[in-house]
Amino acid sequence: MKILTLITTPLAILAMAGCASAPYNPANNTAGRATVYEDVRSSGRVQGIGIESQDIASMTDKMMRDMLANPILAGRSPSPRIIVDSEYFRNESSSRINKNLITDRLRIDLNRAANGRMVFVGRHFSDMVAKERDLKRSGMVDGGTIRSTAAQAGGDFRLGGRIASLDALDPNSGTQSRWQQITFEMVDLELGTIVWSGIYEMKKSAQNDIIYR
Amino acid sequence: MIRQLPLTLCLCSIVTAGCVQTPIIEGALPGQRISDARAPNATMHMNRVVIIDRNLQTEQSSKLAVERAGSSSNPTGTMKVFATIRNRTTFPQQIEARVQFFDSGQIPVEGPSPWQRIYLDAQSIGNYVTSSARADVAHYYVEIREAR
Amino acid sequence: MRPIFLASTLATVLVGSFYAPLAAANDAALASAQQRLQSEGERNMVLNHMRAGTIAFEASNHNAAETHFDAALNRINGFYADDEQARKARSLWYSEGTKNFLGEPYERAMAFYYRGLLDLQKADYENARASFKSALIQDSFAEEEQDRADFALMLFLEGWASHLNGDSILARQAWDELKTMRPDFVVPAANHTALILAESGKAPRKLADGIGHNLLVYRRGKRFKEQRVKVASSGTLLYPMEDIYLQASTRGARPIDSVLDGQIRFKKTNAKRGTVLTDVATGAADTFSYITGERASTGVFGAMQLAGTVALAFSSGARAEADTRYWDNLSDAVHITTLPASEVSDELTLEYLNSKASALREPISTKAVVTRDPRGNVLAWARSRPAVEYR
Repeated sequence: MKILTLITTPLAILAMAGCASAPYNPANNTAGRATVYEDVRSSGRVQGIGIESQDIASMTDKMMRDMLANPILAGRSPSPRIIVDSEYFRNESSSRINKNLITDRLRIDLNRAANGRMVFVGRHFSDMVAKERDLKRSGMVDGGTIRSTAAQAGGDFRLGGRIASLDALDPNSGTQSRWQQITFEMVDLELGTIVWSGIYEMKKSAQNDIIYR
Repeated sequence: MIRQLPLTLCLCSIVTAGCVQTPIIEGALPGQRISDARAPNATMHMNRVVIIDRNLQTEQSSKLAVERAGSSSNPTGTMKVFATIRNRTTFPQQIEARVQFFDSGQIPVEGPSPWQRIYLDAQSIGNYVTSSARADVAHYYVEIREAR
Repeated sequence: MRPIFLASTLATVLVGSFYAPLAAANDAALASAQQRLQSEGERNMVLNHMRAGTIAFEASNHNAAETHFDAALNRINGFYADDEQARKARSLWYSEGTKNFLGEPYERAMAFYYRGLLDLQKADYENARASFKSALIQDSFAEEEQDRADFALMLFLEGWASHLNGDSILARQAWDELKTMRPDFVVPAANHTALILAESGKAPRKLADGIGHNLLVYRRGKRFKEQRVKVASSGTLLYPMEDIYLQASTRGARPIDSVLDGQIRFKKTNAKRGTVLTDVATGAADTFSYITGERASTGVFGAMQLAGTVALAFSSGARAEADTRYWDNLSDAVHITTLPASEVSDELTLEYLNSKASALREPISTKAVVTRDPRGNVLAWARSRPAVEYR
């Protein structure tokens, strides 16, 4: 009897132990495998005070959603023709940047989401279109299968905008900061009025080691 | 003594059961869906604002409070989502929020959107407002984390 | 993985893949500069990119120049707050030269200057303007307030990029500010779309001065007389817009100087303490031997000697030398003039003169690299001495 009690008691304690324990996390809550890829929508391991991938992803997404919620741009029938390129998108800031990174992403995001609510004119491809039209009209190639038009599409609205920055620096602490303001404006190409505006801003600062100041 | 024998045998069989049938590890594992009454947050709830960062909120304490959240329809038919977040601390906080949209069948149609940064002053509120790009959305799911 | 490691990995890839065909182009100077990139590694990476970029720029090798200056500027633009080399360079036992070279503000500014000129040559005026603005920001690190952001050349070029881009208001703003530094400078006319830039002389030198070589001082480049420039055909004298040596030497004390100064004080104190302790120990032991007639090499005198020796070793181990590496194929000064693009021929020769604008005893004249950008605007650039002629 005593032996039996000696065996069963620890077993019973063991069996009960699970019921009395504190809350636990059954997930395998460990870091993932190390990789060289980084999420373009988050700050990377190498950071500066200029415009970075997450800023471009974030600003173009914000502008795209805002434009699609605007009835002047996205609620017209027939759908308006829109030109989004970097021709009138100015960089006046102290950050070197390829502006096409912003305007291309904006146009493509808009075009994918608009689903026909807006029609995009590829003005940056107008040379390509003109050459093909010339070939068709000269009889070198046939007329294609879609249709023929008197001219290439004219735009109803076009994107304009500006990247501007204000730099500040504390030579004693070596802290450098940059405030950047990126404005987006959609202009009526007949009347010249601005039918939609968006703004995105950010301020970043960083400090160098004393040895590099 | 004899009277306790069945109980002892029963306990022994429970204890040794695991040793007899060793599972064979082979093949891909099916994805799991956690359905456990003890873990109510282990599943995704539509039209919610969730804090995914344990630095911001644990079961016991939280730096943020989601005061209001909801959605409405834009004139173009897209969905507008908002969340008002209150900083419960006496320190300024930077957080990031993003959204995912689902249609009426809870099929994902958009997102996740890029993270948008929200600056919260001490004890102050901040808003996350965004819109869907498409008109055929019915549900949203907003995630919040500490800014990095 | 830390940023610096990423950067060095990238550099290895660049050196291994992109530079190989360039080296085969029989450009000995560039190849040798690129060789130094490999042999001297991350510590001198920025310096060697600056040197190689200058040689490539002079040879109108735009792709190589862009690659070199981009590589240098990526490092300059990065922030080094938790850098192993910086930590070492701050410590007592390493000299400042241990750190990875990022250049002093005037050198960083000049790297942005060449990047901006490369942008101008491609009619990318907005990025050129961003480069010149960044150069001005680098100059804002000057300790003396009156010398902050006084890099007139960059201000002029910022205005020039705006002028070519049609941003007349921005151009005027920059040039109005420039007039406060160079009141005699005549602002380019609206129809001026050609810029002649000439560099003269040799790079400012860095020397370590002071008892422990802990003070960084600047000296003008040696053995050159050319200080003014004129267009050979028309005789137009170029405006001496910038003295790079002055930009280098008017920066004032650097924050790191106080660290080096502390290291010198440590070195001196320990050298003094070491000498005093070993002298005292030797003297006391001699006296002890004299009185007792026994040798006294152990015990308390030995301990004193040991402490003295350790202090001396500390002092001789402490390294406080200032970093004297410098961008040696820079020039001493930059001269400019502007005119209508139609008045610039592709065969443009510049003649270098002495400080009184008269001919040199040993005349120097060079042909300018004349670039007509895609919008028809002209940038003519020349330097009095080849970039390959180091020091």
